Amino acid sequence: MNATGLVLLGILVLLTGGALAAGCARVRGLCLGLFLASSLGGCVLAAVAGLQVLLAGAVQDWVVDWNVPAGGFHARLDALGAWYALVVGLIGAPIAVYATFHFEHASRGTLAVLAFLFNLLLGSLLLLAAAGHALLFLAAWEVATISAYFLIVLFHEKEEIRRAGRIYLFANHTGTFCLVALIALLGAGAGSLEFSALSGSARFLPASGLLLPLALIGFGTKAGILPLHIWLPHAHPAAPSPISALLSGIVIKAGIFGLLRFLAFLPPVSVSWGVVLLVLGVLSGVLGVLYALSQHDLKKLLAYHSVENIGIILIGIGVGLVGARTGSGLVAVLGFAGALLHLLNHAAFKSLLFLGAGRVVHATGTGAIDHLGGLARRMPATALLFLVGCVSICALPPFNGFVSEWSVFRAMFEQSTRGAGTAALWSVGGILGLALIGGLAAACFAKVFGAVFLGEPRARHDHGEARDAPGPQKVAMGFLALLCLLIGILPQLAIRVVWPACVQVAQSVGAQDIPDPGPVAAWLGSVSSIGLAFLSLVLAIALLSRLLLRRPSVHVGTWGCGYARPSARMQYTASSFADPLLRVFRGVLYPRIDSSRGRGSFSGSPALRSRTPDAAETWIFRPAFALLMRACAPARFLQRVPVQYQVSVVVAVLTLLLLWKVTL
Amino acid sequence: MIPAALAHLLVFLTVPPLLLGLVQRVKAIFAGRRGPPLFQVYYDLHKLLRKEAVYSRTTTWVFRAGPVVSLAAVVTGGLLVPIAGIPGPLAFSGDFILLAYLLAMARFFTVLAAMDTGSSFEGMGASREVTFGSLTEPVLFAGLLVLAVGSHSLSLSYILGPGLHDLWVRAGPALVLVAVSFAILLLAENCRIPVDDPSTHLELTMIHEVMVLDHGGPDLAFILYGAALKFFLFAAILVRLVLPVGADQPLLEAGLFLGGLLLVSVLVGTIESSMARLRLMRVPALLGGALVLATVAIAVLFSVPGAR
Repeated sequence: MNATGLVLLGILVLLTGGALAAGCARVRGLCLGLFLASSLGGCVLAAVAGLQVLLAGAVQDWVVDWNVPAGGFHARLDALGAWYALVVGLIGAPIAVYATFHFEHASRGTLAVLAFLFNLLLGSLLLLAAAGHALLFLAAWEVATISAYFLIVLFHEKEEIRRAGRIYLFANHTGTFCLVALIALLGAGAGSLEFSALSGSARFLPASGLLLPLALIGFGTKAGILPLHIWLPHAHPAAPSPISALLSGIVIKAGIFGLLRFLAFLPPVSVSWGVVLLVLGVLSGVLGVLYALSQHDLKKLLAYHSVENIGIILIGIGVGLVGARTGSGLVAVLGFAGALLHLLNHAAFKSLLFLGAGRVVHATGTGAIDHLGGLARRMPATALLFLVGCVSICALPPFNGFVSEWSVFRAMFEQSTRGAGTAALWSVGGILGLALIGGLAAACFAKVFGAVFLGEPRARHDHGEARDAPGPQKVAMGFLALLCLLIGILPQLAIRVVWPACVQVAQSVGAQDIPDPGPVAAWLGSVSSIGLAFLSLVLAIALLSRLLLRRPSVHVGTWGCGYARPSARMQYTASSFADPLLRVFRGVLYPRIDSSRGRGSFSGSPALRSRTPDAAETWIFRPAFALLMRACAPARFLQRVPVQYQVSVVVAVLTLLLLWKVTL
Repeated sequence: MIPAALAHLLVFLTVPPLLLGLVQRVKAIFAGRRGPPLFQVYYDLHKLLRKEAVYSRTTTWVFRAGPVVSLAAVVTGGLLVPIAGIPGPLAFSGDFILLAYLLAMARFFTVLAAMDTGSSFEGMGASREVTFGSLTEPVLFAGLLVLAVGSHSLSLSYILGPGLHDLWVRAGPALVLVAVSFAILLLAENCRIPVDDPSTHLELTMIHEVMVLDHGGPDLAFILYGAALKFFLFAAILVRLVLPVGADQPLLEAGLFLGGLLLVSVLVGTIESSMARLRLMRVPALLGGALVLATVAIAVLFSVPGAR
């Protein structure tokens, strides 16, 4: 069976399996079993289909009659779609395994909803990857948006969760609105909504200046590009942990995938748009990591890191575009390779981190970093796997994050060394920005891992009850950790897999002189051998240390510089850990500190609260929505009139529209 | 090729502790003391390697992994850096990015090991270390960028190799700025005055020394040795940058290189003896200054015709 058919079969497996599992939610074991089998089956089929296209290069069409005006069921898994399908398959499978054991004790209703929607979400994302028709793409996009919404509000009894869901839905539908406009404009120019028709070069496009901004807002909202990121820090902590992993790992990547897909249909972009993407990427990256540093909640912190990593991906796309427009095929393909590899890498380590965070929250009942500590001794496996995620996301060699960041760095160095004019200077800015992002990310994850897993428990309730993840969840997280390590030490293989997708994107934006993967793979081969050298050195020195310590070691309390009675509450907290950096960047972040100090000799309990409000939320969206509310206030009376009048207004508007259409 | 690589490895693994001894000797002379022998660091390492270890009951395997991973990362990084014109044995195009991140790896694990003790002192040191560490990263990249753009190469061994002489002729002023910025970086990354004080772990100066308060025995030896290697790496880059000799006279080159290392050690010792440590919140301004220097160098490179 060809790859496109394979992916469609995967979608079919997911949907039928999900529906069957939802149907037999009364029998808990059967429901979970059906859910697990179908989601694993669908993911494996998707990954196999993706690999088949990327390695063998056979792209096939699959057309079915679809009786929808201007629509057509045209599926076509090309290299770019295959890469996204591979990501969905590789990351979706372990999350499904984890989710099965996460919701083991959930109520039947929850179980049914979860099983159906989880598979529906995965299926719609796979359909998105394989869509060959704009309307099909839009339909899959919308199904994914809606199913993700219901998964976020799975436990909708809490008001804050419902509120997070509303923010998600508002933001994403604003994005979809822009996409509908974009597709309508593109379709009006091409006369058809087939992707093959849209990518024809010589044609008239209405409002061509609007197209790229529309795409950026539409896809950027889903991806979480600053300042459109505001739904992420609300939705990620509200959703159950496997769903957060799914959102951060795969769903927001649909925005990046869509952007890359539609870049091919836009009129040739100028260098300056590449620069705009580069600058947006640096802003998302730096501000994302700074806001992450200032968070006190584990999952909210991870959500801001998604903003940061989307920024890194965007830097890669930006420098790729600049390279394509300035005639450097190597820069273009290195930039896109960095972006696409980081798409997979971020999916791997961020879902690993969210799953680990899920275990922490599950075991201790809190996500407040300042209350945690010392979990490495109580849940050693989770700690080790979480550490792999931390090291990977900080782009430290020899793990996968380094490989994609190296590629983005390499593209920008190439651009600034050989490129001419301002494009080279913008790359210089990008390099400095990415270096700062790297340093700050390492600081932030030192804070997270150090405060959550090391030292002693900080809160009064100690976590003696905290138990490590059950076996299958360890396997799921272990698979993701292994993926991080494997891509890190065998990057020359990873680059060969992603290469066709990079070449496709680079060609679609007009890059010329695209090199073959040989030299790039050779450089990454050096990265690989140095990574292996590093790992063997670690082993050798550890062995040496073991040999040197012939006498048994002495175990005592931590040396407190002479202080005899240290307590766990005297430890440095995560907030104090991050404080110096927040002070350095206070001109950007405006951290607020509210303190109430009692008066007099017998003052009550003093309190101190520090928080860093999101600037995009307080300065852009709140005022904008307040303005919108005021502007719509005159129409409010319609909500209070009886329902007959409301219906008659709808009928009147429809009649007017019909009349307008007829007279045209 | 292989003899050169062996010579590289031999120099890199044996010379560094001597530099720390030199710095100590210079400081002792300034203070009017005789000071410990030049080879004191080797004696210390030997002593520490034979000792037993004391571990806090709070710590986990992360504490023991810290010194091991840090030392391994610095040694691996050393294989990418050219020494006295001998290219790094593992050099490739884009290697300095890997070098920067290997040093970040070393820092990350030192910090985690410090936080594993649960001591507020070590937490404080760790916090300051990551603060300054994340600010030095852009400075390092800005300096490397100048060298890369100037010499049209992305391998440290080539940048600091035969092409450097020509680059001095074309863009000398830019390289002077980079050298000053790298000198500041050397002091900051190696926990020297005016950023940190290597001889105390008092509360005011709690950065690197306080992070390793709980380590002892072989672990402490690894940390000490790693610190010496890191100092040597930065000194090697700085010396090579300031004294670029043609590659055709290996003996002169080696002599100049050793002389340069001596000079760097004496300079660091002099700075430590004649300056006070900066206030902590002043350090970001110093690092910002280094970044400004490197950025001006970039501007020089891009604006002066013929400099690139």
